Amino acid sequence: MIAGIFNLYIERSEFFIKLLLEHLTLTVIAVAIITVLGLSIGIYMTRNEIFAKIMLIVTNFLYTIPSIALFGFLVIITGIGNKSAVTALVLYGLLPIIRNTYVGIREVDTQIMESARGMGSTNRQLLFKVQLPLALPVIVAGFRTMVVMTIALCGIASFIGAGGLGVAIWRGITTNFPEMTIAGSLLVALLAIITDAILELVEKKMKRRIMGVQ
Amino acid sequence: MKKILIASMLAIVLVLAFVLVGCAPKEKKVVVASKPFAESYILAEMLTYLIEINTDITVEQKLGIGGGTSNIQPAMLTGEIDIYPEYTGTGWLFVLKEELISDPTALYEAVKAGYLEEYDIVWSGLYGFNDTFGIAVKETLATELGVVTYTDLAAASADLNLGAEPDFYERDDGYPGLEATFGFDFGTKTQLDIGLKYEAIKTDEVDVIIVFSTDGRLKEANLVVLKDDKNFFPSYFAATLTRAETLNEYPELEDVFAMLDGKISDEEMTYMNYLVEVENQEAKQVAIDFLTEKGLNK
Repeated sequence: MIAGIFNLYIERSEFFIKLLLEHLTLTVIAVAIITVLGLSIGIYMTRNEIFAKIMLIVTNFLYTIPSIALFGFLVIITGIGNKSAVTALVLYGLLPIIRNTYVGIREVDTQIMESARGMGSTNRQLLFKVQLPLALPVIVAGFRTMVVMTIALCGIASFIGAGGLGVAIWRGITTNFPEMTIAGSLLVALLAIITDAILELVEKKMKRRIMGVQ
Repeated sequence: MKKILIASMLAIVLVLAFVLVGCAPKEKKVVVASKPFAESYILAEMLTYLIEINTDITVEQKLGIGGGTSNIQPAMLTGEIDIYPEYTGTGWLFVLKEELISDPTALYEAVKAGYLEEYDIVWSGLYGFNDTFGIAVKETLATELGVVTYTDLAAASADLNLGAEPDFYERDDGYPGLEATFGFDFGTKTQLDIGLKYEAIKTDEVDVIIVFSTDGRLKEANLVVLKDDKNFFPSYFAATLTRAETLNEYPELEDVFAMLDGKISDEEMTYMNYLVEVENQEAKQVAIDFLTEKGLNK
């Protein structure tokens, strides 16, 4: 079985490399969209309580929809293929970023905020010089969760004809070829673990720079 | 300033996403799709290969679409998919939702006319094989219960566990029809992906499975296919479906599809499925080998 998997990697290396690249591309696009959207929404939420309540309910709701159901549903709207995959990944990934941005900023010490204001900070200065830097550890933690989740979730996007390593997994399931399924899954897991390790390093460096602590 | 920065970043990301995800420049291209099982992969590979060696059209493959016909048909209508292999019975009962026609030729003519009128989709030729449904049980269990026909099975069904793919429980020629015709009443009904059924019956998680008559794994699995004593299951001859618009744009495709007319027998299809499902050969290779054998690879 194990030998079979490694043989597959060697024999069909081109196939797996292509899938790996597709997987990375899809994930990077989704993560970029999620980050920009999530941060903007999260920041706006700290300034508008009603909007915050609504967004938390909406993203929570989205998060609870089973992915297969969401994919099936999206086929009707955005069709089959990568467009639907990215849409689904974005919808799922928003929750961790939005919530962590919102909570992170909200939990910044009010005394710090008051002294910043006392020193004449404008809203914008307060956001970029005080709130965001102090909330960054929480936001980055959410970012890591989101990235790993997106990599994993992308593995089932081939159910609706999207590319990525899910193609190998789904092909294995549908043609009675367990080695193929495992070979695809292993690469997804590996990709997630490596990415998370890299992000951890980045996170540590960032903390050191902003907080001045180890 | 910062707002402008954020806005422009957002714009760049969105533009990048669209460029990367789709919107390729216009070229001579068709999209070939398949359903998520070995036979459909093999047929789609054959179509792809024949198009590529006989025309200058590039083929984009979208193989193994989850949900099969229910997700492919809408994509055919929106033009995201141009070509895929389909079965007469499925088109007639599942898509057009018409009353069963038992004569295979009449069924083909009817489904062909229906698709053209309703969806502007053209059925081209028939490959020759009939991949209909069957009901299979383990040899040992069949002997123990003395089950030979569907009627026998119906009588014993209360204590048995049936395993079938999700859409079988929904289609009129599937479980609801069996229930009405034979009085099936299984104790447990398990929903399984097509690729997992043989594994499930091997490990005794289910007692009865719905099979396709060209399944590559039927032979090695020690299963008995029961007798359809009321001729319940319709015929499922496979053919190529193409959007009429695509055929108008590339009329040369008609000659390509005609090459497969009547070329694949039940036995040949079963054997090719066996090569993919049991021997784990690549569907593409199996397809090309078959075309070479038939003298179509030139």
